[in-house]
Amino acid sequence: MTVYEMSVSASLLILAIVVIRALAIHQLPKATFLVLWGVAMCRLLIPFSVTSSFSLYAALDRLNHFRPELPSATVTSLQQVATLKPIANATEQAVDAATAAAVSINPVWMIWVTGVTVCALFFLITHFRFRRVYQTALPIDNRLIDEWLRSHKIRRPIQIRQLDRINAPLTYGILRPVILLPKATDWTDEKQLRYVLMHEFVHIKRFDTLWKWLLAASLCVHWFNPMVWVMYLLANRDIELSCDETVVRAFGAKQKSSYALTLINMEEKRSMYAPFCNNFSKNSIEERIKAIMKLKKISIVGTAAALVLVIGVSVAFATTGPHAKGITATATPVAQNASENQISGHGNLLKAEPKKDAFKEIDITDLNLNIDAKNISEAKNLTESITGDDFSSFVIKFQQDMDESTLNSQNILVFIGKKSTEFNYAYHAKSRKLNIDLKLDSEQKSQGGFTAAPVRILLTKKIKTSDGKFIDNDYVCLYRE
Amino acid sequence: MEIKLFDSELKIMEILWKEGSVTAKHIADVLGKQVGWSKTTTYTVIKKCLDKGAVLRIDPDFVCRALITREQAQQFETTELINKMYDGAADQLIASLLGRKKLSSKEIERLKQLVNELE
Repeated sequence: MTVYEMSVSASLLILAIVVIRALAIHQLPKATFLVLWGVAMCRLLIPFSVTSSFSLYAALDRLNHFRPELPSATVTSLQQVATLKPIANATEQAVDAATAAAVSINPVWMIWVTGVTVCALFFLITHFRFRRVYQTALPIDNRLIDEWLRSHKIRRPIQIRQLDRINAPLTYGILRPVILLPKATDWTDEKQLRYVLMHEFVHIKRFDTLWKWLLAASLCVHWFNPMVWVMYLLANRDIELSCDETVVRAFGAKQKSSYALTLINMEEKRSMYAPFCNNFSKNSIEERIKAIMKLKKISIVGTAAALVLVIGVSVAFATTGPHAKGITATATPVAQNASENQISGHGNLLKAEPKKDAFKEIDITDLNLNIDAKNISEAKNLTESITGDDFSSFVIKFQQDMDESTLNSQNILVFIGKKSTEFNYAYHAKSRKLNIDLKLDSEQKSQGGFTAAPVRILLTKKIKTSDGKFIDNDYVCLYRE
Repeated sequence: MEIKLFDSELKIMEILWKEGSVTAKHIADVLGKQVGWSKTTTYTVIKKCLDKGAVLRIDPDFVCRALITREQAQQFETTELINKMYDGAADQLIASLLGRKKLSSKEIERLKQLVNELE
């Protein structure tokens, strides 16, 4: 999966969480949202897809079957092709230059990488600047603090220090967490101190700092996606809300108003990315107080609803449809057929392609032909150099108008060696071009990728021209070694 | 001289005021034991003091010498407190100190004496 695909598929999920959050934030346990954000983050950061027939995308796929439009996956394909097109049109005398240029300048990729770098630098520089100040904090000589530390031990060593340069308590560090209290803390107010320490302790126990890092990482990778910004903002707030919830439950609901008052006193700005949070702290503090005051007892109904929601939303939005598997099942025998036919050698080269062309187009003049298109092999250097050795694109040009509805994933099959593979495709009726983009997964890569096995694109005989003629032969096979 | 020092920087100054000029390494050793700072942290704070002009670096050995006295630092802090909390009026600060219940009668007597001396 490309970053763009991951982003698009996660966006719907984030949207769903935002809607659920808006409707039921006070009704559901706050941890529900944390789990949901976790699922969204997996979707954003882990480039594998889990298939399920209950997926929303499977449903969309089924819908698309009855329509001439292509499945939603082609959006990506169209985009990728759009970025490749200028390369395709490069003139032949500049082929070498074009190839070289293709290696270094894929504008979309460049912009993305620049964005990731800028975001990551922002987070890292801010973090280390603050951290340098935090590390100058001084120890606290206070009986209550010492006692508290003794009674709240976890595997990681916790330190509590004071700093004259902060206005609100905060915690930093994941493996050796440090709770920083402002120097101006009222050390005599034991109750308030206990609330504050408990709040920070819950953050530490749950590795919230790590979660915030992961959120920041998602934002860096998907900086172009506004929904991910929304997620970053809301998930950071939900971490606080859920922490408050736990603290209130630990102290008992009777103390919730005095805890809320402590919060107002502190107006805790605990994030290490202070420039980010301050803008929203006013809203979020209001939200936090409301959430605390509206906190109810956990009911069985609420827990069940949360469970159903988490499972339902995850399955519907975070998995992909099973059509890829369908291909594997139906197409393997055809693949064997295909290789037999190639060996028998009646394949025809339709057009001698100029050597070292930046991008190949294969003309299908006669649909009756079985094409042994070894000529595409020249494209290998280019396609591999665009996004590494896991990506390859093909353009098949038809000489007749095609019936678009028959150009679907049932009728176009792509094999690497004898195994079918996932691909994106898009048909452009105007130019009669069919674009096919392949992306190898890690397993395929480990088996040697494109260098280990030929790529075959099979067009089955169910594909029709616009005037209703079926392709006569079993398939048209485009072959790249 | 008006230098605003943070608590961390005052820790460095404290050592210099107490022990006179010492090497940065010595400061790092002392503070490592005393407040648990890493060497890097101590050097970061020393550098801040150098930048603020509170400390002078003498090489070789990175010897640190205090450029301001404890009294200067105290005076600056006090002036700031008076300006911030007492509208620039020192007598109000004194009044406030005298009004504090926690002061022992001995302390109050000394303070009164001080005020008399200064008048």
